[in-house]
Amino acid sequence: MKPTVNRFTWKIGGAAGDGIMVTGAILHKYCTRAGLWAVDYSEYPSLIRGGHNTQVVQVDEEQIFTHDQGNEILVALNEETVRLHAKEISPGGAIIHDPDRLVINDAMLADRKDIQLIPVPLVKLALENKGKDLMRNTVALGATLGLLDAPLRLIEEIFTDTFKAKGDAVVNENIAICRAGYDYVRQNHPEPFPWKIEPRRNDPRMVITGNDAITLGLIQGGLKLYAAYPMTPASSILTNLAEMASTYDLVAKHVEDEIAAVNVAIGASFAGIRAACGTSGGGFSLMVEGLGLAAMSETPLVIINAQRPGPATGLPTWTEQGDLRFILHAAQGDFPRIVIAPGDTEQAFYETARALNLAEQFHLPVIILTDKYLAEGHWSTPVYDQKKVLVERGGFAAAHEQASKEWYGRYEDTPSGVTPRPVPGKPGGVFIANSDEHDVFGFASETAENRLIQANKRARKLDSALKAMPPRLVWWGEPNADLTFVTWGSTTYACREAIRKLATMGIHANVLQVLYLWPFPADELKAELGKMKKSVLVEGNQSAQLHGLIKQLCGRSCDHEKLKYDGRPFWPEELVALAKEIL
Amino acid sequence: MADTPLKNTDYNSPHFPTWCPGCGNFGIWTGLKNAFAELGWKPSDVLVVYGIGCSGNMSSFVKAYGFHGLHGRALPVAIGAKLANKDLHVVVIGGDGDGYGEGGNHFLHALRGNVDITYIVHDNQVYGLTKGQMAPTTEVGEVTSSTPEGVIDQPIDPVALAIAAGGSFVAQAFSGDTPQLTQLIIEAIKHPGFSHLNVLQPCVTFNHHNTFAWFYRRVYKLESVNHDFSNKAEAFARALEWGEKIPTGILYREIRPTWEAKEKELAGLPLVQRPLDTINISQTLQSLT
Ligand SMILES: Cc1ncc(C[n+]2csc(CCOP(=O)(O)OP(=O)(O)O)c2C)c(N)n1
Ligand code: SF4
Repeated sequence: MKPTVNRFTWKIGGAAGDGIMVTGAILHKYCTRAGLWAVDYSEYPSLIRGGHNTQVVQVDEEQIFTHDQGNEILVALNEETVRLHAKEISPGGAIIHDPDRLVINDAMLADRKDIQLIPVPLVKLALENKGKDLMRNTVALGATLGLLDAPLRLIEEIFTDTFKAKGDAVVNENIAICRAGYDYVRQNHPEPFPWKIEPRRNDPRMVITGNDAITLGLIQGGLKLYAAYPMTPASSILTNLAEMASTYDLVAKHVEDEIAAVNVAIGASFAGIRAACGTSGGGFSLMVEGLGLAAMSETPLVIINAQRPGPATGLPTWTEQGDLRFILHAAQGDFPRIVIAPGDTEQAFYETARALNLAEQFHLPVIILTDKYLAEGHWSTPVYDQKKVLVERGGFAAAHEQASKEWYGRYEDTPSGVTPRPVPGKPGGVFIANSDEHDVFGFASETAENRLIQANKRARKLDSALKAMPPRLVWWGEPNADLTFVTWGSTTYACREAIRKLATMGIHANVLQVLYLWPFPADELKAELGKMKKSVLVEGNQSAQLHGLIKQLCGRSCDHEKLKYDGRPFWPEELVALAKEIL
Repeated sequence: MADTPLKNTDYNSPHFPTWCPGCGNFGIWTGLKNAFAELGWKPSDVLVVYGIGCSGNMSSFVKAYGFHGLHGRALPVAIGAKLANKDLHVVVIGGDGDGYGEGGNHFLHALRGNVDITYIVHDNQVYGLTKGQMAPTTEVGEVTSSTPEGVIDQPIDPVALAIAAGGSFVAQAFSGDTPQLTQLIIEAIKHPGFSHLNVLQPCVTFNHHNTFAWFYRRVYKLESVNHDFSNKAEAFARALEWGEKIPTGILYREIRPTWEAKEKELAGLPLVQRPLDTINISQTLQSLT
């Protein structure tokens, strides 16, 4: 039988502390450099040692968006991995395990007779090649490449690029240990494996997480200060920026709590720089009063909220889209805000940079809404075009307008609602930014007339901002489909993967993604819903939060609804099955 | 520097304070404006960040750049502004409920961080703006509207707390002594690092215990006892004084590098002056391929 080329799923499972995530990342990079497309995702409990961790890397010659539930190669570092995941292995697939550490019996395989066992003395080979115990993962990586008949040359390049800063010894050790696993499999399991890798020539692609993309969007978008308090799954934006702070000339400040984070960002922005803060739902809850402060004082602010399942501490390391309504309504009173939910890493990059422009030009808070799946999953993607990111500064008072004045009418009513702002320290007219309702200079004012003028002025900015926004709805796939998935945020990936799979079955489906959740594109969405042959609303929360908004604001609903709130992202298979059922 | 010397009245806004007649806040308002004038700062040279309370209402009475933030959250706004523009003079005004209660965590961490801003707390041992409830500084046994049977909790000692938490400049003033208060504000502002000035401020409406007369009988100047403000143990002992004798003046001072000075990325131009059109992430993009 001819092997399946360049299409497989690899999974590794072990305890926390086994270091499995690095291994998957390297395999992902290998496949990307081999000219293929890949995605990877890790599932791990909220603890540091023990528990059950997995990472899955799925590879294809075509662009893929979400991994499947099944896999062809399972690297099992412990028994639990076999017990939980052997059933997901495709017929003819393999389990790589260390016979000195893990003996696999039939009971553990749940009577699967169509799985090959590939015993590789992972620890022994690591130690023999002067590595530490944990380097068994690198042996397993080599064994994987051996099984897939993939050239070793590329992995040598990757180790060189990754570890050259640590010196030749480290590079060579990694190469030797990886080769040991590779050679062991080639010698001891020479029979052809039904899946293999054949490198292709392609333009370079990156391997990137949503949080990395947001980090780069912030940097290229001109961010100068980021304030945060660590919280999964937002933490890596802070640690990324801290690591790159000196390269890109910015400050990443780990502050005492999220209330400080939002207020530090507001203070910095008030003083004239581009500033942001980021967190997950629990931290966002603490930022809520600050969100209103940014709105009331008309101070630009970008907040990133990477969702995880709530309420309270919830499922800290899992994924959900349950914060939508909270984000749309957070903080007392009515005020304008913009809420953007990127559906892939590219949107995460470009829209984050745009968020900095929108906040600064229109003096309002912009929230980037992601979730654990997008934040921490990796995707291979074309290299971003940084030239497409324009830092469009705006909303500042001209020096000459300010110079002759003693007091500056910072909150003067204007047709657009945007009043140019001076930054503190600039000579001339001063003003007060005030969390109390205020008059044109910022002095506290409680008159009814003034209240209406100011509230209406603030609200008008959102209409003005509309003109600076890209289309708020994004289509994926071909028009006139028999079924349309209506979705938002990272679930867009699973829907895109589902329509790709459906196409191979001759089923024409497409995806409508709501990219801007506020201001809500009600008119556009209503028109599109009217044209759909059949529609299904797909989102990762319990109460169909987007669907509720659609019903409320469009006066229409989708024909079907598919919700998921068990902490796991959608599997494309379940959406495919749903589509078949509906049609 | 302005060409003609600046006067206290150059920092008046068009609005006269709405505080109760005789309120201790008037003295602090005067001291602050005196200090600005003596320092020769134009109104546009300085940012005053205010908390929420009677004290924070000063935001409408001072001519300077102002930010009247949230209850308890003035410090992080001020720190953000200072990091964005390290050349800007930043002064923070707040109440004892605001700073030691609602915003207590920010106070603790500002003391550690040592960002070069000045924090002036109007300590009236009561909540003024919300009409007379217990503050973190109210004495045990005091009857307030939220503690009709008397306060149970021990009061916070703000200056002892500030010294213990690593404050690099800790001082106390009395709003009934404007000349000393003015000088202490100037000293606090000149201190390179986070300076904390606790100002004893009688609330004539809601605090009938810690009155002007009560304070006049108890305050003494630390210079008069040759206090050595570089001696932390001595400073701490003085800071604990309350009741019969209450110290005013600089309790503790230590020169150590500011947060801004230690943060590599802040060397050179203030962040606000850095160009945004030369950013180039191609190297990082490349490293991800
Ligand atoms: C989050 C929040 N909680 C409560 C309040 C109500 N509030 C306003 S001022 C204040 C206390 C004021 O006391 P203090 O800080 O001592 O200032 P003073 O009025 O005595 O100067 C309170 C509780 C508020 N504005 N915001
Ligand atoms: S209530 Fe007290 S603190 Fe407030 S203005 Fe009146 S006297 Fe001053």
